[in-house]
Amino acid sequence: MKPFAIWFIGRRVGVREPACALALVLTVIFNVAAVTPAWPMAPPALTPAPPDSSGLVSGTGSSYWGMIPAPMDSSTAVFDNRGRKAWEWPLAVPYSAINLVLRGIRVGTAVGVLWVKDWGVWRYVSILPIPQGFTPGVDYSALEGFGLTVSYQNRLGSPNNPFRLRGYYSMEGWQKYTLGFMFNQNGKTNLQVGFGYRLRPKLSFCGIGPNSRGDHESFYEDERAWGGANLRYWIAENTFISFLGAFSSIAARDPDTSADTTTIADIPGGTPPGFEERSDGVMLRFASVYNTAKNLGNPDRGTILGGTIGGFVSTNSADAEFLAYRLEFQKFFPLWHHRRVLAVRAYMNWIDELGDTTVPFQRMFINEMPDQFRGFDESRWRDLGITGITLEYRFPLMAIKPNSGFGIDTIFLADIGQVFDDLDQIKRDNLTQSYGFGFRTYITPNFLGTMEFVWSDEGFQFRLSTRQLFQFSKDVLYQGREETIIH
Amino acid sequence: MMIKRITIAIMFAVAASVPDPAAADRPPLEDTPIVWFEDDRNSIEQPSVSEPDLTLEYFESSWGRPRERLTDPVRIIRRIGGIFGNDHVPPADNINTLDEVPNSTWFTNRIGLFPMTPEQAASGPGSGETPDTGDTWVVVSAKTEGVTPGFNIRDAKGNVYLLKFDPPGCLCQTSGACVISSRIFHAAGYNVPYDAVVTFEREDIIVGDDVMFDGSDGERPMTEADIDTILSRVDKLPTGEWRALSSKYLDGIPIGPSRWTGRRKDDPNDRIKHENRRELRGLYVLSAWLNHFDVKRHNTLDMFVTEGDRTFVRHHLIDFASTIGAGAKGPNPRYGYEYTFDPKAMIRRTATLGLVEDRWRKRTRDHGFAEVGYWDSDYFKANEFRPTLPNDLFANTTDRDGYWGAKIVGAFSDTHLKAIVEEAQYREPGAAEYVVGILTQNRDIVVRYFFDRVAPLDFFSIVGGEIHFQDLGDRYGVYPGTQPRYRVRCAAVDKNRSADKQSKTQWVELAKTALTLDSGPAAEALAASDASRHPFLSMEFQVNRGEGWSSSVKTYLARDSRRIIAVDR
Repeated sequence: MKPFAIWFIGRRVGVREPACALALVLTVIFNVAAVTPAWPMAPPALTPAPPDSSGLVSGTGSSYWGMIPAPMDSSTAVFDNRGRKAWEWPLAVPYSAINLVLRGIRVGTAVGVLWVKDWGVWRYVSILPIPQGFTPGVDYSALEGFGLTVSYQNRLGSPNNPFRLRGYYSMEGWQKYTLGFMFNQNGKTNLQVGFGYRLRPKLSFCGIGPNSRGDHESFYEDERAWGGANLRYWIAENTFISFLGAFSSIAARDPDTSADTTTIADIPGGTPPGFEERSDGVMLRFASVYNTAKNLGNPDRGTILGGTIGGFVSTNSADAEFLAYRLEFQKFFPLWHHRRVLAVRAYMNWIDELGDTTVPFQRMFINEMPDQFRGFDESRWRDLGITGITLEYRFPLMAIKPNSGFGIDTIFLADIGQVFDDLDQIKRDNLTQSYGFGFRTYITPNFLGTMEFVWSDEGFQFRLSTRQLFQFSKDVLYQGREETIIH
Repeated sequence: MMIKRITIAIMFAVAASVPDPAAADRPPLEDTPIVWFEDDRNSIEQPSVSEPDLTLEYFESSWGRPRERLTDPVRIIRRIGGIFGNDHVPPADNINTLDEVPNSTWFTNRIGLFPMTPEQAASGPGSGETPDTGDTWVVVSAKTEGVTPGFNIRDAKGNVYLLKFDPPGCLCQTSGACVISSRIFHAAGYNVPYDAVVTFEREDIIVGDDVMFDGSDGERPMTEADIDTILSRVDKLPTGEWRALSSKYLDGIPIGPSRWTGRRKDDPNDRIKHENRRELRGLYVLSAWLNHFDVKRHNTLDMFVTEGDRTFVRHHLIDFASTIGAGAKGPNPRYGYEYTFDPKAMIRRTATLGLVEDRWRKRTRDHGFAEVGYWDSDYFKANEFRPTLPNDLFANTTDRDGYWGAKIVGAFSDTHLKAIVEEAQYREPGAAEYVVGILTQNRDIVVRYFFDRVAPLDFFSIVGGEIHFQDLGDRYGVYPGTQPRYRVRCAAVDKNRSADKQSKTQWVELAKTALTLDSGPAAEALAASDASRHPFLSMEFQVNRGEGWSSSVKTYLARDSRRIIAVDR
């Protein structure tokens, strides 16, 4: 039957008759050959094996096949491996040669791991004076390059009084150092005190407003420092109010980079207010937040609703004074199956200038954490207001510990938003759109990793991050998140 | 042109890989006694002790070897050949002509081939050898790391046992699972240690002399306080006693786990690649049945043993804590349903955008027994069992191997299982009955799956002038409500199974599970052929349970000796 099938199929696919005939003949040869190759049984051994002594049934006696007698020469044999069939060799030999390389890499890796273990390297590493509470993190974005975060968490006396020291340095020279303390009292009130310094040597500037052009991209250096305190009081199980006072200082100047870098002075429109100056000032702020999303980093249900009003007064020569407002809504919708979550975040921030003062451009809102338009470079968009909606559909990819949620999730994401200086500017034509997908792994509340691939009409962005847009604004001074307190 | 050449090459390879029914992968017929023993107990020097690294094993099992299997062109061609009925791997190498596994240092035929009483099945590999309670047990070493702590103790008789405890909050789960599964694996034919449930009080255990303890403060002499510390991490029975699993040390010298691929090169008796051993491939079926998701090579142990004047290696399966829905780290619905790193599941989830829920996510423990983990049959599928790590043996399991395993699984009757589960000493009323119930349901699912693929007509024997056979599907009751019909056709064949065309008969239906040799198709085939040129009678049987005729089972009779000499499936 098979030779006919070969002939028929071969002819149907256009193989010439001689080739089909050759395949047919070879098939017959190899199938006949398959009858005769080494059958695994070699001549019986001279010394029969004794019956098994461990069990009550020893493999001999009256069986369903009839009597199985005690071992004897005629019923005992040495078994051996069946050899390859003739047709396998032409495939197996080249494959083995290629595979040898890959196997060599595997074996090499294995030997390396064993060597490391045998020499007790892990043990030496484990006794290095790396303090408990040490957490590393790796971030990547196009502007920053790869960056390493190292944070150290411990407590001041009571476990209720944690502190956190964090340092970040990227390949492009971006730096951030923060120190935050939290003092908890009776679980109902806490006081956060935080300080920080951040240097971004090459931040993007494409002009101000929703109609600024991406091809007008220039760069400047942004340096900032801040310090402040925040008193938080829980007025209900899920609701707190907070009062914040913080001083911040932000300088914007030409980047200290090579001559071919486009600077702000090179693009049309002139330099924005505050450029080549330092903006110092004090922010006083009141906030109220309602939060039922319990799992930090990986909630599958709950709502976060927050509002903030703050007033800023300049303390140096720049006489900027303004009020800043922030509204934010987050909701985590559990969907059809376990851990399928639609995370929605809507936000609006805006600044009202007071009197004739002018807000320096470095205090305007930009698209940065957590108000990120992920298809664009950080700080591509800038103005007195920013609004947007972020959507993430999350579902499990790899369930290592399904009950705790530890594993890897796939996300599909969309960011839609714009900057504005007037509410009338918020319209469909001005909205930016970013779409993409990514993966997020949740290991501990303090360590969440994301990898994102995002597209917009201005290109593609790849990001690695150990931070997330959702639940970002919690404990801002303790966590050193100045993005939400400088305005 | 290139496409044509590739087409020719693939066509040729696929075609060549498809076995011709009469020939491929079968030994020539011979009128010789059936081989029931593998000669693998010749005296050897003690092999070296192997201590494979668990981390590397995870890497190799999850990435390295699956990648090799996936890209192996021979396997690919064989898989394509599967369209024509080919297997994706060659047949097992250690089977006799009846398609059975001869007794060896790996396996001893028990319940699959021999009648076994429930008491024999429940007794396991020992004879009730739990630690002697006549005197205190002396701790000779302690296991402090890991989720479940344990002790090695020596009893008054000098026997050494490993005492292991259930994970916190899971009293009876792993200890019960170990007892049940070790007895089932033993009755099936595998070598296992003797596991039993024991209870003891604090004063029954003392620290031995010179026992060192590796605590958080480094290695130091063990104290009674260390025992208190370890026991404080273990749930107590309401009586104030501790319940533990005692696992008797195996006889001989431990020389490390078995390999899952290749063979132990320093053991001359170990000649067959392990992935090609039928009893190891067939282990899939038992593992699926018992949800033995932690069936990794580190849960095997080779012992260098002395029997009489022989010294050789005996191969054991050990540690069945992760079976029957229990887990050494507590029960988990994923276990048994997905590899820890499972690319296929990840692709499926991504392709379906999370709209399709994983089957195992629907599993619950609504049976209500705290002593039983995720143990159910609602979502169980015999062919979709996935241990934590991809298993090299299971990657080679064919339907024939699966049928062999299913035949053994089906041999466990409800009565056997009830007797075995009683040994687990569940305390909750109804828990034992529940465990038995799921065991029987999953047993039937497993058996039915493989019996649907390989006709379960077996155990051919000659009684008077008739060939008798057993319909295992009927005997095990896995096709309720069906009335089986059987048919046969015969032919005289030569040693290469080539039939004498003159002797071929038409299909004839049988009134019972027997074929008369002196009349009907058998007699016709014999009469129409020359015994010297075609010295064997081929009898091809099929069964029909209302859904068409099954695949064939061919049985060969030596005309001279009138003995059954081979069975082809």
